Amino acid sequence: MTDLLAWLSGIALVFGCFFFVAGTLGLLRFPDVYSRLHAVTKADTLGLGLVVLGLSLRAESWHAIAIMFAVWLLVMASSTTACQLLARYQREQDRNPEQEDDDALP
Amino acid sequence: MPYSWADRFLSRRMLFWSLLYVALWGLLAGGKGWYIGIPCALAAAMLACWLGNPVWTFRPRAVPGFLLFFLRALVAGGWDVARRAVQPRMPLDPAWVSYPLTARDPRSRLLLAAAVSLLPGTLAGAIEADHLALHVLDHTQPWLESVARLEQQLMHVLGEGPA
Repeated sequence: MTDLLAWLSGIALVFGCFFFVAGTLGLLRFPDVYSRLHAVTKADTLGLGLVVLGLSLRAESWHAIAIMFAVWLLVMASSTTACQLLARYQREQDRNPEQEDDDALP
Repeated sequence: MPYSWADRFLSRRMLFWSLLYVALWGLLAGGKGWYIGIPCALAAAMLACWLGNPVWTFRPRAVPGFLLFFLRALVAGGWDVARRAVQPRMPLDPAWVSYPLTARDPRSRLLLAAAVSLLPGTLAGAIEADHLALHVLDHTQPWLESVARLEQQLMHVLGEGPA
């Protein structure tokens, strides 16, 4: 039983890492801001969820599982919100290209 | 002024948000540091009331179905974007599209805009005059159907429309 849980946990952790790596690859390779946001939001949320699942399977207490789950929910909420804000900001920039953006890299 | 201060801050709404934030602090801080946690929780609850966040109400019987749908969408969305990022030729065909919103409840709309970013290939830009501006990674994907299904599920679980 413990062996089985350890194996399942290992599989979930490996898949979680795969999604983090894929999200980062997307962030580096995708052509524009919006496509990059797709990669970071979706792949990283799923990656963190799988890491949380993997760690929950080998957690010592229910309290630890509850904390990790709460962290996942909070990260999911903040990443979708941040993603929307960034997309909206970039959309406004695209509509008014004459405005100079002091923070943007060349 | 439609609401007085007492209406706004001494209400069921304030009680709901205070309890939620106190519970969150208790969980994350392991029941320690209440001298920081209580003021922070109360400040967060007051902010929620000031912004007019309503008490969460939902149909409990619709929750399991929604969670299952959401988790499946999350896995499909992550897999879809990971696949595109890893493939050498990177199959992308991005476009802006407009989705006509059926939901009238601002809560459904807000959650839809947030959750749509986790669906395969869609990202919320802005809500403009009953339309949700969406960025899609590949406009040949069936994005319209998947967003409509998510909207139906959200309206169902939040108690908008027929049960």
